[in-house]
Amino acid sequence: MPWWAWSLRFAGLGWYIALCILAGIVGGYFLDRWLGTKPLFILVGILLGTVVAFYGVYRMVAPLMSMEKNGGSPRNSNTGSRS
Amino acid sequence: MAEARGTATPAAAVSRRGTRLLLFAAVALLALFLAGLVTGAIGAAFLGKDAGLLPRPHVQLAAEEVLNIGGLSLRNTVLSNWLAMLALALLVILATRNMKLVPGRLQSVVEIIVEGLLQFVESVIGQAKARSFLPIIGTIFLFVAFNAWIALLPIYPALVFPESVVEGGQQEVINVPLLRSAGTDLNMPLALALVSFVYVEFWGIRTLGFAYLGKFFRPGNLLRGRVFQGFIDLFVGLLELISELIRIVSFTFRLFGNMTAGEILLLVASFLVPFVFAVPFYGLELLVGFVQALIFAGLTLVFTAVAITPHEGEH
Repeated sequence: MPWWAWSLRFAGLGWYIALCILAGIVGGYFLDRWLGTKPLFILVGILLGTVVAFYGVYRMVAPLMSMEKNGGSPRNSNTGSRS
Repeated sequence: MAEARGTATPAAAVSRRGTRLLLFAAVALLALFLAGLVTGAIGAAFLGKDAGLLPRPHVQLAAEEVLNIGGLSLRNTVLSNWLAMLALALLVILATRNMKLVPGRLQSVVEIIVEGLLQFVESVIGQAKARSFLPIIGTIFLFVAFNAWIALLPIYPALVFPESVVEGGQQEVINVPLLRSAGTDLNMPLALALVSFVYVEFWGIRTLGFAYLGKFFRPGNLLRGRVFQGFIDLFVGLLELISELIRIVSFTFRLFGNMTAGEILLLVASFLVPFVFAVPFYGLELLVGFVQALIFAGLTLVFTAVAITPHEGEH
């Protein structure tokens, strides 16, 4: 893959992080309302959402980092033609 | 000496005429800009007038209804969409009507476009498979670009019909555009994002078969009794699934946001200072339309390339 394709892959990362955290908050809010434990689960949700978001980002960026470490092309780049 | 002057004069005259023309254009532009400054909303505010030359722009996020046939509403964005499709179809039909080995002007323009797109696809996915990916990727690119560019035609803000609305408790008559850029309707980007999503998944399953679904559901370790590793695997699969679905959202809102922001920018620019002030922004919007089309098509392409790549055991 050419260099710009790699950057395009990460174009949705912002949404990923935002929606993961948002999902945690919304889930926590409704869990709180159901169990009457305000504000316990909303805080847990924020924490969980953040952890999930960053772990997901790490997994998406991992191939790029292994490429940098090996000083070559990323592991799954056998679809690229030239370059 | 007379002869020398005779030979020197035409070139000098041409250059002098060119300079004069340039000067005239600059003065005319400046005059238009000043006229816009005075007659626009900014000028009106300074001169203490009630309103500028143009009515206050009415920004509405949802597309306006143009026609309603038995509950089926026809929105102005759909009309614009049809117009873009018509323009694209006409262009291609005219260009391919009688194709020659040595292409004419129109044919060579379309050939440049198609070959450029083919090279674009080849650079990501390889020469062997490029031709089976070109149709959809190229269509997405042309569709987004044409929809963005066609909305910059002057007929778009010009074709309006009056409609009375209630705003802030008082009756008000606003001009509703008959045509409006299709990208400013959330439905068009969403539909395109869904097409792109289905396309990526389709190619993933077609190329890798059940192995593709193994990216999302990996019960292997759990079935073998390694509970902790099994749950981690399930969680990772869930993450992949989420990131796949979130792509629909990010595709949709990227295109919708860019197109809507551009439309509002043009509206406001021509409202504040009419005439020439909005011209640079029109240039900007040409670029934005091209870039957004490239990004939409490129993202679809890149994620298809990722989807058809067999993934190893992962870490």
